[in-house]
Amino acid sequence: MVEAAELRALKAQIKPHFLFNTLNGIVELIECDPKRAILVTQALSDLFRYTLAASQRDTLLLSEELNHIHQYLAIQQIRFDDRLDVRWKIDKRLESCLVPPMILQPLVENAIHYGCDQDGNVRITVDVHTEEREVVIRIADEGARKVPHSQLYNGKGTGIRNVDDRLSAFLGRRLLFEDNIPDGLCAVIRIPQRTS
Amino acid sequence: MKIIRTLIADDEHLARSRIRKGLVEFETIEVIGEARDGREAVQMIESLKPDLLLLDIQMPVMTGFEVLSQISHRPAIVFITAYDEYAIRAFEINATDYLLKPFTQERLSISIHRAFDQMSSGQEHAGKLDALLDYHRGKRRYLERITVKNKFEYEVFDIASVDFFAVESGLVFVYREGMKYQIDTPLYRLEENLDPQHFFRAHRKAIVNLQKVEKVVPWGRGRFVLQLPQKERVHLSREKIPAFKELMGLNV
Repeated sequence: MVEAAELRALKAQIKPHFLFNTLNGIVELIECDPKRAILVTQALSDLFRYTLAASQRDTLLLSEELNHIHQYLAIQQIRFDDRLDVRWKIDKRLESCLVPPMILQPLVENAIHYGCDQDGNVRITVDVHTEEREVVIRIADEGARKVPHSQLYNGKGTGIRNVDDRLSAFLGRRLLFEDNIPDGLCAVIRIPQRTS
Repeated sequence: MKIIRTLIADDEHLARSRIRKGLVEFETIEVIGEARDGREAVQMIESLKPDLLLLDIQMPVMTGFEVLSQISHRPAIVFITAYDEYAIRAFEINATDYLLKPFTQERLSISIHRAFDQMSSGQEHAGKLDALLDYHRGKRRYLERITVKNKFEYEVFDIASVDFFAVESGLVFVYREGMKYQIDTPLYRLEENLDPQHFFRAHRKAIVNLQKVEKVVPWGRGRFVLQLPQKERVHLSREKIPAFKELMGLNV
């Protein structure tokens, strides 16, 4: 069972700053693009529902995690327009693998917050493939800011630490960071390939 | 009728368009530019010298506060934020008006009228803005004292008298003059609030006061151990060695 502290942490995944900015975007869309306003409202509802459901599970399907960050990024793309570019390289055969909940959103969030290049543009690549019977998930940005990797675990936001803690608790694995070439940061999760 | 040349700085296009539409009802306001991040904002403020600035606090590359501390021109300002506890506290304490997103047209109008008042008050407004920025900078001042519980009393120490902080069995301890006290502040929070010129994260579980380091002992295979008062020893993690050498002026 997931412990109480972890439950609280999970519920804190949707940050107030994200919520209010999204609501502000919806207000504008209601006037200029009502259809999109409906889509964003639905995506926001799905995000909340997933976060609540995920907090009660020890594992879920990788496809559910990917769908969640898909929704999250869809909202961010509407907010940031052409400044956010996301590329997906997903090995579909791995989507039925079991993973701990809410391990991807904090990484994508971090990439958006700190991964902008000098012009403020963010390019994220989500890559899921298999290596030696392990699922390898890589979330890479092309940001200009150089951060020592060790510092990432101790940052102000608890998101990254939370992912690392949960990977340790559930699987005895760490969240790893690599330098992305030529610029940026890449978060790497490796977990044993396991299906239900 | 004097035209009020206005700049909008917000990283989200929907937010900018919301603001732009809200400004239409003010006949004297003319939007002369839109900045999409902090750096653009600095450039546009210095080159265009707007009379009025609508400034979002959280922007990539540079925050709204950082923007203001880098410009010499002083326009009237409407601060805008979605949610930032720290910024809001700064505004409240300095009696500065701010707009919360999402906002109504009525609330925007109130802020714009207050900004018009800023323009007519001139000097007074500039002084208030400087006070806000001073407060913002002051908040970043480092920890000067630390309070620890010793049996039934709280003792207050000058931070410079601390030898080091260390985590043991998940608890954080302060080492000082041969005594050790447990505190409740996690190490990462201490690190954020300690002056990096004097306190150094030697490894994942320890922060040392550099002024208390008595010896740097080579520990084989390129590793080092720091000797502190009372013969206490703290290992230096491999990845911290270059930064440590730089801070200590060590060339080995």
